[in-house]
Amino acid sequence: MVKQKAQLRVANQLSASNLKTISKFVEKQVGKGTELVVKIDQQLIAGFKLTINGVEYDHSLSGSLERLAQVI
Amino acid sequence: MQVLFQAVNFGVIFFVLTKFLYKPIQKVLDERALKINDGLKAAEANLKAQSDLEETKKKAVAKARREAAKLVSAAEVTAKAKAAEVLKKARAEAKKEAEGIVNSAKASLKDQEKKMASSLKDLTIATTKKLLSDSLSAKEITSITNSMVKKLA
Repeated sequence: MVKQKAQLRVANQLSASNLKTISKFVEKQVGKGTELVVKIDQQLIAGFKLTINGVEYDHSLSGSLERLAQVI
Repeated sequence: MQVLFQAVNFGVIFFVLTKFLYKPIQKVLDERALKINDGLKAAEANLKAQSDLEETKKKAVAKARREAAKLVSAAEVTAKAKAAEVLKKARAEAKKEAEGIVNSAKASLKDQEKKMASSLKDLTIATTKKLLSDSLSAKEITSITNSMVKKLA
């Protein structure tokens, strides 16, 4: 069975508790046994971007600014 | 006797003259008078015909002049109306063209404004990102990340 992967891009190193919270969220979405691939991306400024099965959860400061720009 | 002879002679001469000279001459004179009279009548008739012809000619010329004046007047009215119509059409076309140019210019201006606003927005976002990247400390970044993670919980 192929293990599912979730992409996690973060602005800086996550704390263990934050990583746990995100893992739980991923499990809730797609079930247990999903591999979380973490990458540092300073373009995000702060926060993170999580991609599960092609669905993106953008909780980055960069994304917030871009959404704000679209609203203006 | 001689008187009688002379009287008979006179009578004979009178008869002969009357029969063979006077009557033919009178006839010729009458015929000539008749011809002259006919000629005069014909001349009068010709004069009258000429006069009538002149009158008819004058009337025809006057009528033609009146009709020509009417035609000229009608042509002037038609020409004025046509000129007014052409002028009106030209003005309408010029107005339409001017409106088209103004509308095009407005649309172009609006488009430029949109592009400028979009560029300004992109520039503002890029500058804000740069400023935040340069100014946020690691602690602040962590704090923001923590608050973002909390949203998932």
